[in-house]
Amino acid sequence: MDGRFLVDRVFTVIVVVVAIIAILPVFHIIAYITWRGLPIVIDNGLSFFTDVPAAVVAEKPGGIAPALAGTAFMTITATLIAVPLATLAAIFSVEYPNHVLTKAVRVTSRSLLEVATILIGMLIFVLLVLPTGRFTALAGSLALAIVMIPYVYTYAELALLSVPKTYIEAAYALGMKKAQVIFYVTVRVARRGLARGIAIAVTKAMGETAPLLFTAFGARSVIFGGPLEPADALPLMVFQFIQTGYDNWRALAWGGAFTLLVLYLSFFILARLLVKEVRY
Amino acid sequence: MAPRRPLHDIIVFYSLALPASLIILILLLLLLSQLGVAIPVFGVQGISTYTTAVWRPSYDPPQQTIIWLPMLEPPQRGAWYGLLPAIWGTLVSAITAIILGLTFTIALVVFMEEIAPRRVREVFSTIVDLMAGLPTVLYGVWGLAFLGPLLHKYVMDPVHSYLGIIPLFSCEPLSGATVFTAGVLLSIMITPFMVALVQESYRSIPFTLKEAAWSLGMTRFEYVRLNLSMILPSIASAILLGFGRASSETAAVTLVVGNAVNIGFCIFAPAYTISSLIANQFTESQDFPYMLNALFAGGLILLVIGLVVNSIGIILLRRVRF
Repeated sequence: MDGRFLVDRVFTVIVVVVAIIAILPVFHIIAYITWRGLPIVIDNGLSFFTDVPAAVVAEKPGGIAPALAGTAFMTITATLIAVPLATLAAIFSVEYPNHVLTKAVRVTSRSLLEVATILIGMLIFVLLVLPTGRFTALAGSLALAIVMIPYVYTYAELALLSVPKTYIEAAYALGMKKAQVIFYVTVRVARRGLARGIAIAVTKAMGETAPLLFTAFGARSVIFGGPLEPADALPLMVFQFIQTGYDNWRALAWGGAFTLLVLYLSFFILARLLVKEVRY
Repeated sequence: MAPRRPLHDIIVFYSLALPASLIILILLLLLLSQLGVAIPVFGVQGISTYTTAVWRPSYDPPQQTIIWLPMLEPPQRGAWYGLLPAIWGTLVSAITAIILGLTFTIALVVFMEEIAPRRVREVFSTIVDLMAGLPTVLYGVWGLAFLGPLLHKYVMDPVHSYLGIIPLFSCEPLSGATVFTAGVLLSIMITPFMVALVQESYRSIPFTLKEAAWSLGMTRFEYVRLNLSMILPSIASAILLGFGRASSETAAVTLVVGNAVNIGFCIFAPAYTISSLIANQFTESQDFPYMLNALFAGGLILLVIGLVVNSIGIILLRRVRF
């Protein structure tokens, strides 16, 4: 056989094998976390989601209610902050594409996507935690909002740009004002793409650990102390408890990891369903 | 004379420009906060903060040194916060991640674009998306409980006993938590991100060029090699942006890197990365003079690396034009 074809055969085999090796870990991660976490959730039943973590010497590990409450509170508030801000900024860059501010926002947003999220935690620590002297759920919300902003912005810009120009021209021809065109036509038509960006950003925020370390800090004696008290979050709890030597806390970490996995997969599927292309 | 813009248009402009400016403000604040808090430690330790390998928290503040003179050995007495080991750990783990991640990336792109049937390609592309968004702490717990011990037993121990004379593998792996494990875990995490970048460029190669290559009777290997050579800038860009991702990852790395102040050529030893150093030492750092400032000096270099690498990566990405 010609050497060239032998090389080609070997190359093809290597590519296929390496490609399969590259995606194997994610299956193993899902299976492994389910294997370690699901039994703990089943053992503790509903109380796993409604109790606070028990003492390390207790018979049962208790529950992850503070983590769930904190994640819910911080993700929702972060969304409420990030979505309007980033969407309006995206509308700006679509409406005024040649403005110098547009170029600056695009560069900034790309940079923010790449910035280590722990630095965002440090920023909020300096701006909010140090002056007030306390870790708060709200500080965590702000940190997560900053994590979300570049994602929402990027996807919103894409969605808004895909709105056909003819629709917008028709709206102006009807005598609509700019604000009316933006909110009644552009945003309405792009709503599916916007929703997808939000779903992706929420998934990111929900899974973030680093920005919460020095802002929400973690609090496990009550389910939720209020926006001005320290708060727990699912990834934060998993991160801190898995590093301890206590069986009870490690059990909570595995159960929490499984819960986080299920939440992530649900949002992933939601974002997929929203992708179904919009037809004009 | 051009007609004046109506008032309602001006209102729209400003109510959109305000949120846009806020986003820019956030990035400026990030830079300013890191720089602002870091400055005091430069006033005492100077450039040596980045060139020394001693991490010695103490209530006794660091001794004043010459600010612009990079030293290798810090003063004997008092606290000292040298970031070199953390910078080294970041570089080593990120480079390991890039070497492995690039292999995975090229294989995945070639497989999805040239080998797999359409249905298989769609499945793969969904899986890659799934990997991209998976919360990093989940990679971390898996790395801590499974990947670390696995690599320890089946990779690090055998490699150390057979190739121990090579400095890279010379230290005996004591546990699964090493800078090598961090690199492997990071390679899995950055692969989907790099795939997205390379795949997009690969698809942008004009069909006429591909047809011409086939018509010359090239084998698939020769054809793929030619295609990849046409998108080299975007591969370089994926390396840089992947490096940025790998160096800034915190939660997963902190769980598997071993967290020890350590500098050396051996990759089977526990180490710190800049982000894991910050994550681990932040809370107690407020009790010691200048320690918090030193951690912000680490954050500053992480931010600067991130911004520089990101900018070069984006510029390179633009060079792929057909």
